[in-house]
Amino acid sequence: MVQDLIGVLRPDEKITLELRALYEQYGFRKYRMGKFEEYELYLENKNFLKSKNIITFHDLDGRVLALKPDVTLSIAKNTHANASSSEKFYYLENVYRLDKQSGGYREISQLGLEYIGKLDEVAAYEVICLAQKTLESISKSHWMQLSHIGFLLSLLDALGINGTLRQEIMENIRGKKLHELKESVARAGIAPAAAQLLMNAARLCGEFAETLKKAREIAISQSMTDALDELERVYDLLAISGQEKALMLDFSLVNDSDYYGGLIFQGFVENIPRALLAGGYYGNLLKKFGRDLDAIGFAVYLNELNQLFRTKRQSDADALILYDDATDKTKLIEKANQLMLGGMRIRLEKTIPDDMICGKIYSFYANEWKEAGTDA
Amino acid sequence: MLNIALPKGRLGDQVYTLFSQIGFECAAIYENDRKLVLESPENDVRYLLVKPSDVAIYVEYGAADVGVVGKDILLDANPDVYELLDLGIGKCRLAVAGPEDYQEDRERVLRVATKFSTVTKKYYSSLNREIEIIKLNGSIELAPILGLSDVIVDIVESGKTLKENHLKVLETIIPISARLIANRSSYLFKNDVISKMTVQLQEVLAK
Repeated sequence: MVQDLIGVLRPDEKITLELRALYEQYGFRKYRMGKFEEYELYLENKNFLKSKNIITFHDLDGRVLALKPDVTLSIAKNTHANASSSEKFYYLENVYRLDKQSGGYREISQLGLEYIGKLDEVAAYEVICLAQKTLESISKSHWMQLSHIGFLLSLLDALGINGTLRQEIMENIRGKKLHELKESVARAGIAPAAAQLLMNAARLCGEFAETLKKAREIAISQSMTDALDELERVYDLLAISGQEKALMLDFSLVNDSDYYGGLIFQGFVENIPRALLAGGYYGNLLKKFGRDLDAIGFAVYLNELNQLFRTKRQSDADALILYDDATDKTKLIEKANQLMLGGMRIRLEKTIPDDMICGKIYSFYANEWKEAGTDA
Repeated sequence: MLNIALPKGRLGDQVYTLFSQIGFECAAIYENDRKLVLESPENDVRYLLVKPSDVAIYVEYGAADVGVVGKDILLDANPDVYELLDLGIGKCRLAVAGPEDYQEDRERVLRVATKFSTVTKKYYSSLNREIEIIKLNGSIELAPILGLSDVIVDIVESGKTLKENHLKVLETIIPISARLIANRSSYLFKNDVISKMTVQLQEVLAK
């Protein structure tokens, strides 16, 4: 029976169930939240949101509410985690964001996972391992980009680069625009040695061990070394579970909101043009809510899966039974029930509906059972 | 197979010449002028000939793995792609132009006709100048002549069209050239081909 039910599901629905089981296996609990959130939350934490456009409305008591553009903010605000007790959640929620291309709001279905508390590399390992397994269950052909945002930020700190130049440099590194980066630093009059460091940092992308080695040559401050040590510790743990494959160390991966600090990652599967999964540490956000805790998590953009599983529409019913006013309705229903018991999907109609794909067509006009043929 | 989006027209021809030097020849390009998809199975490459302003969209949405597009379009559309190389061809500049006898009146809101509204807004807001944008899609030079706008922001190559319309360049906003862009996902899944291509192009361009 369960097998029959699963057969009804679309591939993306099946994957969602599979992933839920996977997350539960690692001790994450499902978290369900309300559809609306106080608008104030987003107003106060604008910098943590990618898009500043939010759908708002007034509740009956005059409070301004919003359709959630983001789930993590709500979780961070409401968590009961503390220094001695951590929380592990996963959620399946819809969020509402502006779509640049169509110039309107879109409903995006998100599956996410959050780990909040006093965390160490085991937590980071678990979350990234689950991110890897998530990609694996969606497609055999997948890649993960891993980075530590602290590495670049510390380099910029060490070189004393701030303000708009800092933003410009980050933007150029994010877009792998080495030619523009070269120009930016030359225009700003950065010393040649420092400029070379930045160029080398921007080029850091590739197989983990090799790239880490190159990164160590650039590390000029303790916090840069710390960032690399942290990456290496997590990588070593991933290797124990065989999850170090299809992993690329890429320091051009730069967060575009203030959400993340520390380890960050993005997952891709073949034939989906955008990142399907994104995550990382977001302790900064919890600190903003007055909690001295760490948090790491990721979100999977389920909408993107529609593009991956472009299955052809299957039949709407296994058999269509046509009847007319002269048909005995009792016999008709008995006939239908009998076929359904055999596991067939049955549709009863007086005429063949437009745009219907069905296996067999029977007619039961005036109680005369006839096979009218198959629908091609 | 690597899918390359090329802008239709002169820039596209120049880019193809460049790409054919690094092993991406496609004989079909010379055969038929009307085809939009040209394939060379032996070189494992497929060219898509699209409108220049659409190249970035094809790449961002993964219909093409890489593409070549003018910096002007990248600045205006701001697509989420990697910009791997400045090809140094299709050189021109994005500039503010106005009538030959133009004198700016700083007390009035400046009316600017342009195709490039995003860059224009950004440029003038960096100067703290209040403007009104009149979005046009072609024959921008007409706007100041007819009094539709005070100035225009447009691509200037030789300045000949401006001169014929009694306009002159008042300010260069940014120099423009063609860029090699890549889809973020393709960059991972076709990393070998795309990285090699970038290096080879750099070598050809350095000559």
